[in-house]
Amino acid sequence: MAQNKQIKVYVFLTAVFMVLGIIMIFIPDKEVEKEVSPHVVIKIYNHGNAYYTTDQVAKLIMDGNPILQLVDVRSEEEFSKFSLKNAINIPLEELIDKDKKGNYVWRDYLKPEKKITVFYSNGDMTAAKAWTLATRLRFENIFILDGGLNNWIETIIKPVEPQATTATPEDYNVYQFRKAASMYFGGATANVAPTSVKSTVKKTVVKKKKDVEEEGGC
Amino acid sequence: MEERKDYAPFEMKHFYGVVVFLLIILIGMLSYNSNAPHYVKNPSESLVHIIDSAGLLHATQMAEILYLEDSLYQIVDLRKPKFFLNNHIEGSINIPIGRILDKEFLHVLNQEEKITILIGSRSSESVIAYMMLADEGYANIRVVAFSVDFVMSNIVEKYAPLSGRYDEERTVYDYARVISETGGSTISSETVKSNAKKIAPVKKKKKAEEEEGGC
Amino acid sequence: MRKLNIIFLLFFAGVFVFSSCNSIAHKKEIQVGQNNLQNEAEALVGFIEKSSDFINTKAVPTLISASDVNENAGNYLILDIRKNADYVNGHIDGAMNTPASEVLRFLEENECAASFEKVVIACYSGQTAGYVTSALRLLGYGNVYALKYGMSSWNKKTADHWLNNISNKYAGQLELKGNPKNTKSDLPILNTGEKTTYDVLYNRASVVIKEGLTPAKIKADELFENPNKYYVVNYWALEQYAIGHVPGAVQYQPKKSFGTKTYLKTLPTDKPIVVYCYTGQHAAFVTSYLRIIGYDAKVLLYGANSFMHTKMKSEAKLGHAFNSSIIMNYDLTEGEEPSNKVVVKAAATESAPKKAAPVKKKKKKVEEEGGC
Repeated sequence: MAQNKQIKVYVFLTAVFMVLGIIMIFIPDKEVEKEVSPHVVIKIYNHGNAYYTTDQVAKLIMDGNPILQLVDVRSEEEFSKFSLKNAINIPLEELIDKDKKGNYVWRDYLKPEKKITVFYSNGDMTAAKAWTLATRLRFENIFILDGGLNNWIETIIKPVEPQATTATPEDYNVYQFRKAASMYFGGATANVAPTSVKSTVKKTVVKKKKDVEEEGGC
Repeated sequence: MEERKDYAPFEMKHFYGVVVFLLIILIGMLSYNSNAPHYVKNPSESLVHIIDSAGLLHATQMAEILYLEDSLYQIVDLRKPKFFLNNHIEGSINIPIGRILDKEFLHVLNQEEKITILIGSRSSESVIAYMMLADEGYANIRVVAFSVDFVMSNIVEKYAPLSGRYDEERTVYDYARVISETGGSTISSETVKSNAKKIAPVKKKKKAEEEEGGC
Repeated sequence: MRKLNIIFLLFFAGVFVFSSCNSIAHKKEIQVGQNNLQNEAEALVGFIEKSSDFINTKAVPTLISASDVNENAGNYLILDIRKNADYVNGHIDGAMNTPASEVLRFLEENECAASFEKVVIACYSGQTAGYVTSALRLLGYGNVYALKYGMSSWNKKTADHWLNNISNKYAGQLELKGNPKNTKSDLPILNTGEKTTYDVLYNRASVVIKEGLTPAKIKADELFENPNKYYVVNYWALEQYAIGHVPGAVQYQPKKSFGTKTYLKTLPTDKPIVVYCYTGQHAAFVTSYLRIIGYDAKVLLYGANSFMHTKMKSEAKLGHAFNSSIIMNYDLTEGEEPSNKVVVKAAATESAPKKAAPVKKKKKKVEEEGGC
């Protein structure tokens, strides 16, 4: 009788350990799975580790720093019209495509050793979408170009001279750098005045004299 | 013998109970890991969802919601409190993006009574928060492609939702042209007629004779 | 056996309890826009008044002078809405040609329109442009302007429309006594079937732009033939109204009168309304607004200039008589192309872009003509 019970206990314990074993196989598998939790994604973003400014990127390009890898996440059509120097094109739609073996096709580009990958689009929304997905899938060292190409044009290609009254010496340093960058990327003539074409549109539209002038047309 | 007989089954029960209890605790601890991913959408579903621009509100819709003070909507401002205190949309709630997934805001963000509009200092901020909430299964979340500053200047202070950067993802510049303009003659290659020429094909279709005088 | 059952039961219960506390409670999605608007016109006017109340502000009419355009042409997007033949004969350098009815579509399709400081709409006289501009402003295009006096103010060669339409023909038929406004009634009835107020606005504005000025204009001859057929709105200050006005005309204070709290509802819904001002441009803005919210309104072309031009010049209190000093002598560009100026263009891309293709390489051509 007692022996019988002892056997029963062993059987029971074996069953328990088997169950545990199965669970152990199951759970770590989930953890190692290629996804990062939402909390972590948000944490990465919130600690300011998500953006590269246009100035930073311009400097890396001008230095010819091989650490930088630019990824254009817009459509192929937009990419072919204009792209940043040495950028590669991975449209957002294709970002998480997998090959036959189930590996991400862009894996080699997005998980490089010691590279900084900067996503860019026209604004930064599409780049942010790509960033979120990539971060979730544990691709590392991925960043968003702050403000995208629109901002690139405004800051690097057509920099605005700081206002004499409010500017700090730092602003002038930034401006000097941007002027040099503008030369490098577009070959700007030295006097890119803030009044020159389309670059300052947004600000002027908001603040300028506006509607007053021509009233009373009738 | 009789005593032991009574005692033994009791001991066994006890033993089973303890083991099972420990097992449950163990499993619970293993599976209860707040950092474990629990997305309701897998990456492909999430991608399809955002490529369709699901949940994206247009600037004119935002204008209507604000002007008509539509109580069906609540606006959540994702910026840091110091920016929020400086200037914010009337009636908006401040939940900094870092705390968006906190339990204490769950009932605010995941509800059936109100639709939540996420807006931040730029469109990337709101879309990241949006993707995380939507992929986690929060209901009734919307996102916008412009910043709080845009709303203040083009919807609240004056009515011009379709001017300026109302969709940050739109091409505001013809990049190649701007570069070439700044380029001047230094990188010259070919001569092309200037300016507005490139603005899209305009239909030159002749309007059926418009009466003179109209304009 | 029974013990085993209990064990399994506990086991599953435990797993269930712990796993369930991790997921977000499922909530139902709210369905938006199911209810049709009760009264479209009320909702529409309410929205417009809350948004900008454009027509009752000092900003209107948003006209821009030829000299301003001439100085800042590089910063402005100029849309020439005249007939193509006239455009080819001579236009402002850089202006794009598009029919008035297509202006809205043009702005929607050319994203970069937002990057220009101002969008200037140029027509023959300033009236059609004003009419379209008003509709665009109501839609939310805050940077759209109409070229004042149209191309007539640009160059003598394109000034025919104004020069041929000024007259003093009916100056002798003017009435001096004041006429009372109608009593207030309801707004017109709109039936667009749209679900949101902005959609109603969009629907109405696109219809108004599409139709153009044709159903919304009247000439002095037609008006003076039978003024009683119309409810005539004199859009002048009282002082000028007293000098003489179209027989039967009712005075409405400019920039103030057409709100629901002021006199909008005194306009009749069963009779065509004619709005007139000095040049027809301000009236075009108002007419556009009134038509959008459902009134059968018309603008008197060339305003008072078309029937009392000489009197306008002689009366010190009446301004805005068209005269030759308005006509500038700015350059005209001939031909189909917006501009004849030749600039040097750099390569379209900074460097040959390479598409990193994991699988196959698709062929692509570099397009020289950019989006904007």
